[in-house]
Amino acid sequence: MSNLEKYNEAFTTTFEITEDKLPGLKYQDIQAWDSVGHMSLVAALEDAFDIMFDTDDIIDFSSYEKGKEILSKAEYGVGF
Amino acid sequence: MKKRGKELILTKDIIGNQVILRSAREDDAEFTLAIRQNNANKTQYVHALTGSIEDQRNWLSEQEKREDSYFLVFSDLNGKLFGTYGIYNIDFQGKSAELGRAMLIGNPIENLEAIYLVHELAYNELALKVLYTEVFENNTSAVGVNKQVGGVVIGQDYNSEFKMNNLHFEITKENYDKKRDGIKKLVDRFGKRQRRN
Repeated sequence: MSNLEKYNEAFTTTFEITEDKLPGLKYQDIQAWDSVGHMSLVAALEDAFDIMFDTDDIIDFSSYEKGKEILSKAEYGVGF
Repeated sequence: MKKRGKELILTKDIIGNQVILRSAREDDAEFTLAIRQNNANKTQYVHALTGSIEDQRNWLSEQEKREDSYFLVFSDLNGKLFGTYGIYNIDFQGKSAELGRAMLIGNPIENLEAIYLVHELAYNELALKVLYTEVFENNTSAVGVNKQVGGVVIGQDYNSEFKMNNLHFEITKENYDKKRDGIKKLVDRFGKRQRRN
């Protein structure tokens, strides 16, 4: 499974939505991406990529696109 | 203490991993007024507060005296306030109450723990069996939170002032307990992480 597939799967599984809804998706756009859902997503991504997010990155993770940008940082090394 | 938790939370703060929950005091008036006036994305779904700080101070004083109502504030461990919640119209015999006055502007880790602590207080300290709350349908994050803690929509009506549907949630302890472990795991997993600054 590619990194993009793993990334998308974390979203679709956590929020129970289809992949076509992901581009442009932002925090609190949908009911499932509330505070609880946000932390569930972060946990799913940490497990999928075997990483530990810095707290500031958890806070900055404001959209589907921003998450990819954060994961691409050197400390996480997840390329897309 | 089991039937009336008021003394417990008036005399003792509830301290979590990153969040302190306590009963609001008169000197919180500036914050509790400002949070209802200065957060556009949240306040569009609540009635505007137009009173003065003195009015708010008096209201908080009244809340402190009431036996059937708790107005709560959340802060980080340094005391910086970031949210409010209310548990009110408590029926200790019927073990039910209304939940509301919720405004959380902390980061997601703080907000998660605040949500966890207020439900723990309601169900496990105050021994309530069911909470009722109303949320505007367009308020996606608040609707989401209520569903995440086990809430079920039991009715709705149209609010002509806000021009949107108002959802009526019932959150039973039984349903909350089904969600509780998952929420607690997240609180425990992320609660000890510190920010860089």
